[in-house]
Amino acid sequence: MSETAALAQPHHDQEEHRGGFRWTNWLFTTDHKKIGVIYMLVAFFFFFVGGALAGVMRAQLAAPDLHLVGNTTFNGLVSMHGTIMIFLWVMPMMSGLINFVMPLQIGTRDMAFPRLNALSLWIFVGGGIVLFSTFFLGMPTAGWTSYAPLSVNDPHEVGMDVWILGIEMLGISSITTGLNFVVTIMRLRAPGMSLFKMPLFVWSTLVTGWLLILAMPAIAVALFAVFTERHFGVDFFNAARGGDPILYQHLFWFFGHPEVYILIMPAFGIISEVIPVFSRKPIFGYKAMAWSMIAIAFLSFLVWAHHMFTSGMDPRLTLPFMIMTMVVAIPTGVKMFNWLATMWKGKLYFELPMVFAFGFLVTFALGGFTGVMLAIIPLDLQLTETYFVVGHMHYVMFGGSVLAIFAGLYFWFPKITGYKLDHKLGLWHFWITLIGMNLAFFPMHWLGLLGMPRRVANYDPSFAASNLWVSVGGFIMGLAQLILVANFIITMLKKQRCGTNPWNSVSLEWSTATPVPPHNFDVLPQVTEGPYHYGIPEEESSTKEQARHG
Amino acid sequence: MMVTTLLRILRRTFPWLLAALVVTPAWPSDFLVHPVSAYSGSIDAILWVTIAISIVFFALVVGIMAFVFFRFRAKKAGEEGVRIHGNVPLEIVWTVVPAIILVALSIWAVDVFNVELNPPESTLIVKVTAYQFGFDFSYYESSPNFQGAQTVTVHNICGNPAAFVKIRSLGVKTHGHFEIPQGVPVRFLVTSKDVIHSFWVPAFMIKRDTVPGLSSDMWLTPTTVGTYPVKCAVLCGPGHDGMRATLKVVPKAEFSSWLAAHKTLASR
Repeated sequence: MSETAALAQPHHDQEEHRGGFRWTNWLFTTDHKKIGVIYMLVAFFFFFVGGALAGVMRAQLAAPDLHLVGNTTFNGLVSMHGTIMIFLWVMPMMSGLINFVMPLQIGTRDMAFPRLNALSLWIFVGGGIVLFSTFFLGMPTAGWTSYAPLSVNDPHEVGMDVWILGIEMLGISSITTGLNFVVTIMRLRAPGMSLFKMPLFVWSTLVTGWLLILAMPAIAVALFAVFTERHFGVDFFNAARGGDPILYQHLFWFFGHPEVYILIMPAFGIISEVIPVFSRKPIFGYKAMAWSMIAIAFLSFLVWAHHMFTSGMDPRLTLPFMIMTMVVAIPTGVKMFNWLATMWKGKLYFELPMVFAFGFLVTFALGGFTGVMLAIIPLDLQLTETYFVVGHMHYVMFGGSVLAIFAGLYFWFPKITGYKLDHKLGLWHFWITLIGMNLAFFPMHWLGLLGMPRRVANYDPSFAASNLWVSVGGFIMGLAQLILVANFIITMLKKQRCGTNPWNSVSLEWSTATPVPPHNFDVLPQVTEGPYHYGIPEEESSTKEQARHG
Repeated sequence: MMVTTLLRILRRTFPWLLAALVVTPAWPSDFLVHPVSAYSGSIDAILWVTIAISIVFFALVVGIMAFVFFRFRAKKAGEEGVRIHGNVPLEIVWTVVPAIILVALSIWAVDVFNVELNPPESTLIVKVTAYQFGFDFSYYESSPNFQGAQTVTVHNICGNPAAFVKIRSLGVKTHGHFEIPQGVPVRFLVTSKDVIHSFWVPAFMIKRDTVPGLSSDMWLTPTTVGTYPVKCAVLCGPGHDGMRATLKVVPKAEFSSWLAAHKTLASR
């Protein structure tokens, strides 16, 4: 432990000038908390950019034969909406929360490599700027999946290349971030915090870190190959010259499937933090929760071809991929049931984080069921590449990751700023978001089942009513996010301090002062108990019950 | 018998069950896909059973949530729950029960998909060539007994990746519209001239991507006469949304005359 303690010496106390805002304090910071906040602010900017793109798409799709935007522009919107929401909203937002919270939760002073952390942040911001520039240089039009040969032939010469550059930059940022997460957790935990005494959010970060390290190189390679084919005639994917178009899909989805777990794993962590605190009970089946995350992460590298059942790969090979995908449903089901069981015999407090966690459980369950349907090959051959998939992935990504992000935001906002977000506005945000998202995403399932392909700018008139509903739901959902912004502004202006530990949580991030001092802890904490030491012992509670009844 | 009755009840009640989730007037007038081939019928069955299982589990989840919401809600500040860390037998139950259901679904899925993996040796063959932005169709027939017939490699032919199909051209080629006979097995060999597209007939509940340089295949036996849309399902460029064709399933006799008419058209 002495070695790690030495590693964790405070090294930037001097650079912090108390009182007064200096932008250089933020630009040159290596403090994990400030880095986390910058990640979150940039991510929120892109959340609204990506949302605006979806708004234009849904306006175009509100009726069957509108021509608000041209087809090429529409394909550009499709590509950039996906790219932004995945790489510039959910990933950095999770990264921001992890950066802020994880070192505090393990009781250390900073990340293992604070300068590398700053480098990751600014490479990410650079990548974001590069991707944003495609709005002026011409958007890529091959979708966020960018399948070859379409991406090789993309007519928007510059935009496609710039897009590849941007994704490569984000890839580098993600790999270094992943390394930092893993090393920090493995080396810098407070004395006494064994692996199985870590909060589950830390577990989810550890697993996400490994996924980032192992998955991101695959897309880096795939897009580099596309780039060489575009400019140097290296025919990796050109069938006419001996290349294989399906090779691209194998590379892409070898990254792409772990990627969706990169997006959902921290969400699992957040929900596992929120539910015990507001149920006043330890998490049910802690070890199963940790192991199920490890299992899901491991399996995520063995299921990639379930995105390719119709692709023309050998159909006999699709069967093992179906079975592995089904297996993923088992640890995921374990997590669902354990969350539910955590609430059983608890004392539930419906503060905002808990409200969003409740929403998460419902919508993520729906996304899970449609996931199983898509895993079944005969069903997938009908449902894949249709609006059903769009519905499924939005239930998982929005109903899963984004609702969890909101839960985490309402949960840790008091730690980050010292203020609690307004409860009433938060409830409005929750209900309007929930209604909007279900209106927007639920009809997508039968649209796909009945024959509406994804990524189309126009569609059969028979789909008009459902599509109008999807658009209306989408706009409702988008407007609801303005309530969140209003809540931020109002809360920051009101400046009502809420104390160091407003939720009465026992994990370490709440044991230090708010705002958190630059060195986090005056004295590094000693860990003796598990992370969810809530509730009264069973014997005591049963004697109380008896006393009451007797 | 039991299963079909169950399926019928499910189909009737499903929209109402769903309406409980999302109240919406946006129900399409024709909510269900009507299976129009033997294969799509079996897919339809697996679809509805999966939906039924999902509804049961979803009801369980929401039911538990509703129960804890009312039963275990804290009444005043400072209350604590019971310190329960877990329950191994219970955890085993909710690991094993879903596992059994998933295994059963997998076996059924493999069983259904096996039909698709084993096409009959003699079929009508429609070669589908996709391009930006449309479909061409040319007619062949296949039989293992053809002598000196044109032999075509189907790169990923189901069940036998490097096998050959012996086919003979029927001399008919159409564009944007094609017809197939009712009750006869038809095999589609699909490929593309430029980028990846997908050959999708929603009514048949199956699609295959058309990949340049590959000849992928799928087969089915249409059972219901009618006209069905064919759509591209993979983003393929600016004309993707308009990349359509129509397919007409006609009685056998009508198909013969249609084919003959197109043959004379082609020979002229």
